[in-house]
Amino acid sequence: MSDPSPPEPADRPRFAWRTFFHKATVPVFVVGPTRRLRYANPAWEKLTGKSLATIRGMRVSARRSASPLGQVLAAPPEVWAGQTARSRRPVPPADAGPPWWDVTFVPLPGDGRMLGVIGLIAPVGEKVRGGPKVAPALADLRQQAAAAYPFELLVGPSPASERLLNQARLAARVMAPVWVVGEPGSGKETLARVIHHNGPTREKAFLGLDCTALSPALVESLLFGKGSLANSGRLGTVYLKDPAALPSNLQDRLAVLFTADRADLPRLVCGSVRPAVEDVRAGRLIPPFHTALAVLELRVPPLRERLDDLPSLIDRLADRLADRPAVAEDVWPVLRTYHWPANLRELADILGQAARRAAGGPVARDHLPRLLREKHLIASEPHPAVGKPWTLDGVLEAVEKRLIELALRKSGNSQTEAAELLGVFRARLWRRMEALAIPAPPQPPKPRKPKAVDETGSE
Amino acid sequence: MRFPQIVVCAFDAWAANQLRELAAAQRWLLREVRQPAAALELAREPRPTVLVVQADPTADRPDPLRLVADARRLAPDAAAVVFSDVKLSDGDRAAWTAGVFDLGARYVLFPPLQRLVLEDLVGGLMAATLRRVVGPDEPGGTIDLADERYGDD
Repeated sequence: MSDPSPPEPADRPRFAWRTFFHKATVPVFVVGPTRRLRYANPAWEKLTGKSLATIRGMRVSARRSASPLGQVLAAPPEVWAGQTARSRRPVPPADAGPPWWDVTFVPLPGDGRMLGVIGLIAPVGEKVRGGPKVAPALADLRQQAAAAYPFELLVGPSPASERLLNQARLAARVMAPVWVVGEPGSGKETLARVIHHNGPTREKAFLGLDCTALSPALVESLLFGKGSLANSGRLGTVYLKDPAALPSNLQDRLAVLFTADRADLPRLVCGSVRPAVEDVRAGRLIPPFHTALAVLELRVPPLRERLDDLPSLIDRLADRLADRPAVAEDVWPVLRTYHWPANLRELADILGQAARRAAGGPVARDHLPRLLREKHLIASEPHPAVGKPWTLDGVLEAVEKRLIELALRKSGNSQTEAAELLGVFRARLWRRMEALAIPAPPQPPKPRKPKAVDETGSE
Repeated sequence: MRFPQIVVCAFDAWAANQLRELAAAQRWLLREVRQPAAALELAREPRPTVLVVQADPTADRPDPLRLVADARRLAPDAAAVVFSDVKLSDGDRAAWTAGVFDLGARYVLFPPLQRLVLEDLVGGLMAATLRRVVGPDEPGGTIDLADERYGDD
């Protein structure tokens, strides 16, 4: 029978692939098209404790009839369909981990048929002391979830993004507690997850607790109650969103936990709209959170400071939508004009709304909310020419006049309240109103004093 | 803002029944589904959402957990609570709870807590979700020159 493979070109040197794999320190194995083990390198033999000579031809299948090792080395169906895949498998003969093997399967499609699959194994995770195992299905899901938080999530052309990326890389290399500052919706928890999933504790769990949403009793029960997570050795990172919302006795317990000198302690990452020092000064947070638990302080820039990142951000946010929409060119100037008070959360909402209006077509300017379009219209109008140059006195008077008018409106035209709001005596407010030609607004009616009532009830 | 919703994806009806009164009092929608895919579709709707998922740690089927992971990825503002009626040992419970938190759950409940605190937990998570959507309370005692609410009429 003739060999169906194409003849090797004369100008191509013969490549000794077996020697190449043989010298590799990564455990490598090759499975043939009949799902039998064809090759494994010495690193694989060392890892599995099996010799290739005795195990060559072993059936590699996910069926229960296959050996435990054969089940672990079995590629998922999508690999046989031509896709590369990665799976987390418990180390045989155990049926749960840790420890695990992360097996990367690379298909070798040939001319109309599959030639085989190459597998590379990366051992991960250490055996938890006397603890129970995690089911492979849960471990697999966790691994897939972790893959969604690479450093690339933070990459963007703006200097603010570059700075944040470098800070995150630094934070991921060390175990120091991190305090993340950022406006609502700017991505503080996402940053915490990126640091966790790329840091030394990535094999353990990320525990995100919203201290404003959970009652202190639930937080305490979870971390310190019966069968507590804090001492389970399972946690890699604890993310506390706004820890200043917790009562001080619980803050004390947390500070004691996270400042203890123990090797298996999880790392603490806190997220807040304010730096820790401000919460400590205001008495909302106990000092150790500033002195010992905010060693690295990372600031997530608001979206208005990273408008150059809009295309890449929208590209990522579009993944959440059922139909990934294209974005027309006339959308970008409108998005760049808006000030994005709710940051990425708002951007995702607006993109979702616009995609629904576009109904499968590209998102155009008319699909954006009216507020954004109007802001852009106002911003793009040419400013009226200034008749005369401004002097310092003129500017100060205009500002003072504007402030007084705003204070009067905010206080419902009550001059007493407006004076309090402005921090001046009422007499001075009158004088300034007169000097600045601010008409005295009608005063709100004064509340009537209740009439005196004697003990018998008659007036 | 559209009406907030509680999406319950459970094998049995007690969780939805327990949350019915809270949802009615707060005028939140209560949606009960059996299929994780349907729950995910509801969670992706642009409205404040708390997703309540029942899972069985002893079963091989990871569908409820996949729902939590998918919700975290596709609807990150929806807060997911996972509860189970299965009693586990302390060690197993810690391992499982840590794993589910890692997938993106906001809280995990095991017996006997699940029936005692489910309402409070869902109420607290929804309140936090609403705060995120509506924004923080207006700060008092400050005048913002650029604030349009006090601009010229």
